[in-house]
Amino acid sequence: MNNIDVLIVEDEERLAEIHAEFVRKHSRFRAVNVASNLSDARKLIQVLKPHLLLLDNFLPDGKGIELLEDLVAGDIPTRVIFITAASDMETCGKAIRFGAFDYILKPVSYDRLQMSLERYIRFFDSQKANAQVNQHHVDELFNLQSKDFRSDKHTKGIEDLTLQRVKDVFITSAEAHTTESVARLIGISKTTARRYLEFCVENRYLRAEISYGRIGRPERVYKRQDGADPTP
Amino acid sequence: MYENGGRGPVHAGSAIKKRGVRAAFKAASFQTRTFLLLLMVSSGLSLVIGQYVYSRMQAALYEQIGIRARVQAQQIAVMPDVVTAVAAGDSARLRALILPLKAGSDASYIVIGDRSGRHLMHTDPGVRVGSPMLGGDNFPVLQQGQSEVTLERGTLGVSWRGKAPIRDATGRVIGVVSVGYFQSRIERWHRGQIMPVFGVLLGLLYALFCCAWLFSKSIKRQMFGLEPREIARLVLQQDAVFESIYEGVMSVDANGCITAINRAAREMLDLGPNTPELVGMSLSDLIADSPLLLAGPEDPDVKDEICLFNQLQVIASRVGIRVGGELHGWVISFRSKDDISTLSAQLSQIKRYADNLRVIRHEHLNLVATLGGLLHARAYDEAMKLIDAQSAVQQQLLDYITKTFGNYQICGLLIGKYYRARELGLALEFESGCGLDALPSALTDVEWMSIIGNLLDNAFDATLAAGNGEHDIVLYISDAGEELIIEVADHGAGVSPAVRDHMFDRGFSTKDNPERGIGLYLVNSYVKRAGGTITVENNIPCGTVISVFVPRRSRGNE
Repeated sequence: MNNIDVLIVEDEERLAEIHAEFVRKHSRFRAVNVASNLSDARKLIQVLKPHLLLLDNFLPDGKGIELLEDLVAGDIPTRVIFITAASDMETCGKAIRFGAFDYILKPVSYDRLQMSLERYIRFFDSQKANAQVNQHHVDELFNLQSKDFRSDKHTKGIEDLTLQRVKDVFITSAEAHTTESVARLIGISKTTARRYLEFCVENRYLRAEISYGRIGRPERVYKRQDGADPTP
Repeated sequence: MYENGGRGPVHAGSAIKKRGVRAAFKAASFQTRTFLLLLMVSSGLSLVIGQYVYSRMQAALYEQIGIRARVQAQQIAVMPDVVTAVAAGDSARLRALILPLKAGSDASYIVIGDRSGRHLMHTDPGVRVGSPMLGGDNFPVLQQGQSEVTLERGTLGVSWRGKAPIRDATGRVIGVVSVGYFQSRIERWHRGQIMPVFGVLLGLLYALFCCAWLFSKSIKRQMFGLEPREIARLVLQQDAVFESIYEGVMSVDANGCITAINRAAREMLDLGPNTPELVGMSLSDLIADSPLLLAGPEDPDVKDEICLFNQLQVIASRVGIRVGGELHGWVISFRSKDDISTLSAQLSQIKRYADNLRVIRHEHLNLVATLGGLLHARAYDEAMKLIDAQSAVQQQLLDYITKTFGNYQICGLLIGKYYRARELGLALEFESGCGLDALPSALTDVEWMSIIGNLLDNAFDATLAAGNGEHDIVLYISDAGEELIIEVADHGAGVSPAVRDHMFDRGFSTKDNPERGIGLYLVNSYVKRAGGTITVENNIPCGTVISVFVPRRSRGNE
């Protein structure tokens, strides 16, 4: 098992030490170094080529986001867990766009940091283990990097009860419906109606089409798919 | 041509002198040089004309005098008295005959010689009778009986002479008549004739001098008192300034054809680097129907108007080029709207930050005090909870957005919009069941961001404008099915059917602010390009739901 080199970039000395202690508790991490400003961080990245960076945004000689930008532009394989204040969400949005490995808001929740570090270990190992690159591997890496919590992706917030009520609308008649009519019949919001109707379309219970109905404006109407089973 | 005319007189002299003159010429101001050149050309011309006229007049005068002398000689030669006297060799008789003739003529002298070429009579009393006639021009007259005109040095000096033979009754040549005009005298007459001509020429020269002076002065005035090299430098400098302006600048003539366009404008409009090809092209060919550019002579100047140049949102100004109240064209300058929006957003944020900071500091002190209390009471778990709560909500949102939407750009945008909504006193909610794996490749990430961003902005505006106490905006994005669905629902005032028919037209806005008119137009054009549809419905109980449906795979790939 390879060990992972970490560099902590944080100007508050005591906080940096606490972070370092926390990271060292994991046996997989070694050579935990601390840089207290951007220029030191740049030098240390050049020399140590760490695998992982805990990067604070507010530093005495600049913004951590600049370093992240440089890493992306320089195609340096170092991954970044970006740390910024909760009041600085805009920068966080930017960090996401630059493809930071993870983003943690201050004050740092160590449970959240723990999750992030474990996720990185998995990412690191799967990167090392899969010498042979295939699509599955690429997908796995991508998911680990950005969306490993997405295991619940397919729970769409669809409740059986509401779903059945939506389907009932179509059982009683073969008539076409819109979100408008469904929302009014059941008493849910239009967007919720859209969500359930589209779920039905996905499962081939309904089909959707664009109708240029009464006044020539496009409208999306839903019809029962022929031969669809009305029971859930 | 002028230069050649002028160079002759100026560059005469030794090589060193030449260089000196040339240097001095170069150092002189443009006005002086123009003046000198014109002066040289005109005086050279006068000189040549003067010379020509002089010699022509001289030749004509000599010819006339010659003829006069010969005719007189011929007339005298056929006078019967003269013939008789010559035959008799009677000098006294001849003298008596000729002297009155001489008095009535303008000839300088009249001479009659015998057939051997000796003087029989000379009007000048100083010439002895019997002395030989000088000049050696008597031969053709005496031997061949021809009349002639000669220019020879005679007894009294150089003169024009008309000679005629005197014949007796049998036709034998018995003597010669010579009527002479001294050359010095002819010259005097000539000078008398030529003087007025030279006077006129001098007057002309003076007039030319004045014209040259006025001309060079007027040129100088037209060039704003600048030397040509200064003008050249100014032109280069203008070019450099024009090209280096960060704003896009174009100038068009009254017909709407481009006369100049700078680098920034070319880059923003994506027109390639070649200016000469663009100059002269019609602006409407380059930028499809933008109302700002189609200005008539009566239209006023426009400042900072938001418009669309080839899908690029810009803030443009239009200033007429008017000379003496007449429109000669327009100068159009523009900047990408994004740049300006960023700047103005930053400016307004600074003020807000300053206000926020005071509040935050106060809250922070409270938090520290609370923490101190909890630690003092050894309620460590409570203290930890309090600290975690500081970032927990935002962290959850962050994690939710990044795990739900599989595109970094969209995640960033949504986080930004979420907090924008919060700043506006609104709440952006994500409908449960949102999910996005990857955006269809029919459009770029930036175009997808534009669609989502504009729909959200529109919903924010609609909610704020309604002012009905509602503040929820619901966003639903899903690509679980065959299509990518983007739906934005607000509880604003909703749209009337009349507005709904036009809300995707460019420049359409329910407000005066023209900025509004573009967002939905862009959304519509992008969605159409991706082969999708947009529906607009009323929300329940009020407000608007705008839904975008775009096939996940473009039709060609299916």
